[in-house]
Amino acid sequence: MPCDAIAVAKGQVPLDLAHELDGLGSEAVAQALLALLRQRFAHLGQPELTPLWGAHSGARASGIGVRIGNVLIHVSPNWRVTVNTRRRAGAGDDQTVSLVRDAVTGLLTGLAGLAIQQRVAQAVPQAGYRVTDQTRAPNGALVLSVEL
Amino acid sequence: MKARVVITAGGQVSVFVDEGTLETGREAIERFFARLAAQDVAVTWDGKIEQHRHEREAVTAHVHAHEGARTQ
Repeated sequence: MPCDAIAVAKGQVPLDLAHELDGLGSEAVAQALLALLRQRFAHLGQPELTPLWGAHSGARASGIGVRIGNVLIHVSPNWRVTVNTRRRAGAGDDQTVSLVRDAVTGLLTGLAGLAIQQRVAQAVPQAGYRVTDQTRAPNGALVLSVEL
Repeated sequence: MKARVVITAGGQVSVFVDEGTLETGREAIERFFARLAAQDVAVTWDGKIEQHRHEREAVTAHVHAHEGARTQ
């Protein structure tokens, strides 16, 4: 971004992915996860939300469960991602599991980033400042024009 | 006072003040971060202010005229 500013300050909002994702809620994250899987992994089949059960306890596990093809995804309540095969792994399943895990982790990180941008952007007018324009930079940054 | 606020997905919040002086810009930025904190958005800032606007350097054009080799 071309810069000819008189005064520039750079700060940092502490990044707490779990806090940001908590703010979005598990239903919104689950829908985003399904959309990602439909878009990126359509060749594996139709993704579906599925209940999960503890391997040892047999009790229902909390969090988000999604199955797609031979892949089972579990996003725990504290947003840890576990990806496994549902049945015996076939040829190429290792790579598929790895790709799905990376994609899901990337999605959660991206969602948390969007959430933090929205949280800061909403706080600006609430703090009494007039926002005259809002755009997105090529690098994904949210740019607000503000009357300070 | 016109300014731009740039928020990255990594949580960096940068403020670029485009009007006024360095001092009024500093005051406006301090006030801005304080008001954000009051809205429960705490921005960690080391207090440093940079100035990205500089006096325009005079641009001089040097014209070098050379006698061309004349061929006949």
